[in-house]
Amino acid sequence: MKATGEVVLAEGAALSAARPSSDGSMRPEALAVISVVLGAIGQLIVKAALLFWNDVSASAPAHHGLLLKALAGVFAGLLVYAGGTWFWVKAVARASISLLYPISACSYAVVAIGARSLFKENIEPLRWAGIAVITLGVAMLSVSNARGSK
Amino acid sequence: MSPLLPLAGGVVLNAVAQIALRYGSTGNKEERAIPPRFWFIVWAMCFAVATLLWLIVLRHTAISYAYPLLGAGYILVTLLAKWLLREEIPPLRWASILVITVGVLMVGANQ
Repeated sequence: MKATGEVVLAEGAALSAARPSSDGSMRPEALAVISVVLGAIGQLIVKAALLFWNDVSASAPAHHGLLLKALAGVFAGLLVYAGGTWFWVKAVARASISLLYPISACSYAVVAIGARSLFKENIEPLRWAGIAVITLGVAMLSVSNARGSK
Repeated sequence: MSPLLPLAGGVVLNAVAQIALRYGSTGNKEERAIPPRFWFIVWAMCFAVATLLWLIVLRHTAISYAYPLLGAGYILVTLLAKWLLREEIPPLRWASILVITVGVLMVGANQ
């Protein structure tokens, strides 16, 4: 009954892939989703810190303490963004880019939704449509990667 | 000043950084004389300046406008990969690049 053994093995592999296993390994799709969320949050933190920077530098007496705080915010945002990149590298190491590109393509929409809700940015229909088209294009790259050489 | 100038500068530098990283990690027939360390330095410097330009852009520009425009990087990297790395680009990838270009133009039309 070799076939049964293979099925059990396959099921075991599927199970361990479905949830974090003891060594902390996660499904590559989950890693990619985390990388998109962290990347978007990082960019939004940087934007928030720069808005704060503009506010502080606009006020008449230069307040160096607050400017330093804004700068720290920028670095914190860049660090979170770098964390997202780290998760992306881990995801790519475990699955082909073609599987993961459609997930990373969602980052444009996530950033736009964050910008609208956090900074009240006015996003016209044309911009939403453009973001959707870019997302589609990046997701399409995965198909051409799957079929192309390498 | 229009944010498009520093934005484009950042995209170009980022693309150059990617190509340099590729040269540095795989080597290239014509570039073999140049040590990998050189390409890593090029990568690091381009990456650092591109990040700085991005901060300059983001300081005065809506992130919902500027961030999608970074998608132009896909277009430039593909073109550079074809011309400098002599990579073969399948038709479907050109189609994807065309779609991204249309999307970038749509976002870029209205600031």
